[in-house]
Amino acid sequence: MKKIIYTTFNLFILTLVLNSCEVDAVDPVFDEPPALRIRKDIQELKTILLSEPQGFSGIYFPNNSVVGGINFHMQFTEDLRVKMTSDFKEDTALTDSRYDIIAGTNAAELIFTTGSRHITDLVQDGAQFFNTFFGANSFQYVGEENGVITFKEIRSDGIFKMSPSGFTDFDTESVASANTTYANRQEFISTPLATAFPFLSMEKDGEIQGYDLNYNQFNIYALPSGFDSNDSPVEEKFGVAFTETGIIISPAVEFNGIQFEEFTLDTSSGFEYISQVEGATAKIGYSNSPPTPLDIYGYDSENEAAVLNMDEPYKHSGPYNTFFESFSNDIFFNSSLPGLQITNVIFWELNTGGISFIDIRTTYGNVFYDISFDFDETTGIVKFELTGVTNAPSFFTDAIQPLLDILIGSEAGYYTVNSGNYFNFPNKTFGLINIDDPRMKIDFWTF
Amino acid sequence: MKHIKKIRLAGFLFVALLLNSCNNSSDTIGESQIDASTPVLSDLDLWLRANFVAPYNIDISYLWGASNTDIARFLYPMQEEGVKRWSETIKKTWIDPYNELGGDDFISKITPRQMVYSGGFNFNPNSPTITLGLAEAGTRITFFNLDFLDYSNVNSIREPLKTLHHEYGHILNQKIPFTDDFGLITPGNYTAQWFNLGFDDFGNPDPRTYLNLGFITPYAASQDSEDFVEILSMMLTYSKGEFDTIVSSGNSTGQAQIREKQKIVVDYFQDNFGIDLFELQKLTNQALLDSLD
Repeated sequence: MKKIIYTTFNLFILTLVLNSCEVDAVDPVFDEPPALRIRKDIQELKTILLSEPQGFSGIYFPNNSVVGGINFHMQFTEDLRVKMTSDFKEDTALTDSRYDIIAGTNAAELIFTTGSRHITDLVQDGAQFFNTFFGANSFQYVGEENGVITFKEIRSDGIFKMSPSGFTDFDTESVASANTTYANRQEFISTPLATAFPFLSMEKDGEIQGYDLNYNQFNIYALPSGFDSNDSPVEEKFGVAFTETGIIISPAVEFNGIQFEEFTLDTSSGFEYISQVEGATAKIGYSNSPPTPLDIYGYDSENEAAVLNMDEPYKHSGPYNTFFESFSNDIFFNSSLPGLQITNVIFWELNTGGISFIDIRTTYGNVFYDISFDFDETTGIVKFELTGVTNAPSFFTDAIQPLLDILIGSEAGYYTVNSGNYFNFPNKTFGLINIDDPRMKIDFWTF
Repeated sequence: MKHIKKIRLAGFLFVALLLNSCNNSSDTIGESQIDASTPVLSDLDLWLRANFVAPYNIDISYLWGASNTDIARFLYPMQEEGVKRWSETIKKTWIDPYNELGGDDFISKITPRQMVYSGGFNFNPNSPTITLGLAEAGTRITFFNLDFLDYSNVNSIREPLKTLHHEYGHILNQKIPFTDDFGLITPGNYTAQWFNLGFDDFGNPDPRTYLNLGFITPYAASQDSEDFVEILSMMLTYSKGEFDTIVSSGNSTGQAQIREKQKIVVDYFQDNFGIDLFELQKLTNQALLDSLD
């Protein structure tokens, strides 16, 4: 009995001892603990940022859902200071602020620790005008590959890619580059070649898909919309970044398996940015006719009056704004009517059945011209004709004739298109697009 | 007995083997992974240490740290150029006057230990309001929209100073609460919709809408603790004459209620801290004017 107990006890001990010798099998995914890896990333990023005395250039797409890309140029120094410029605003002068590279929650982070308006303006505008994040001050370091450093902005899923600037004089060349790309962005909306029909088109193997571009200059963002071959609505959305030679969009658009991301400016036949990939072509630019069916405004039925929208100039086309500014200047210095200014223009009696007239209000008083108009509900085209009835003296008419020509003088007529609301009021706005000169889009609000 | 010896021997062997079996780890204590290196200090950092940390134990946090602010708000760091001037301004308009009347160590004894500077506006979600500043647990005051200070405009500087005096009032109240009778002067007029006050029926600014209810500002109508510090902050950012003019715009009932509240605030300072609030008002208001361009 004792022997049995003794043997059993020894076997028990042996089992325990053998079991205790089991070595934990560890199969680590990473060779080092997270804190150590982040610390190495911090050192790596610091080394990279300080390795380029002429700094870095890159595009920051802060939020692909709401805003386009901004060109940044940054020069980092060892005392944690960073000079930077960007093309977000017209003021491209360099700022000198501070940065740091720290251990973030799960990665090394580049933080701009003091304010540079090149970044803070982004945040401010996003908050103030769009109630959303246009950017941030903290960027997770993703990695470096072939000279391109990639950062991710967690809060709004932004992507910031930088590569060595290639400048020989950072201070002057960075600002010059920002000036150029800012000017290119403005050119897209103010070019004399801009018609009222900005478009996106994609073509592959003879199949074409067209879109109304729906580009918003304030958030540098496009919401293209159109109809496919089955007349089903199709939509895209992407941010735009203007480079020195073209544009980059984010995210890329896809058509029949081809992705388009980088476009080059081509002004040989109008104003177009072109991307060619594997024999397929995408274009962003301006056409002379609507790329998709227009959202027609019922000119003869919806409202009694239409007032020239002088308070929302961005709803007019750039060429119209240029014309109106030049015209206003000309009449102001007109020797026969010095100081003449147009204070308002109103179309009356649009849906009443009465005699329609155009009421032009000026600092010299109001004049009217009776008109007849013909509105085609199917095409949305309206044509005007002066009846000859007016209270304006001929010398007055002579002075304002250029405006009359623009507003009602198109022989082919005007496309009518809804353009939203007058600010936050319920009053609708619509545009008249001159078919003879589709660069001229003139916006009106209604009541 | 013999068996017991054998069992003991086996036990010793077991322990020896067990201990030995645990000695196969290759882990060693490596270098610390905590970054304890000295931070890079700019001239500004050194100045702040000499003028705020050393004498008052107040940390001025102007460098961006997401943990200092609400990450869900549209906030960003202040521009460095404005940090020193704003710090000088709060020293002259807040620290110096309080220390002059309350004793050299008044502020260092009762003070927020951290001041956080933020450049952008703190927009309140789903509300037409912004938060000008925050006081947290009596230890930290956060200023917002400091990038938009205009030292040529007294109102531009007055607003954040009002925030400072307001939040510091809360800190003093946390140390010594004010008496309950304050909240009994206009108990029925406090409202969560305080931001709708200040406008007439046509949406035009009209201070009488809150003055007539016994409040010195619209925000004072939010609750009695805010009411108390609003009177304090208004007194310390306006001259006595200006304050009296503001109060006199209200009807007689509102004026009387505000004056009754003001007396409690004045007594609170005299009784608890030995500070004549009207004297403090003179000093802070003059310092405010001196801080302008």
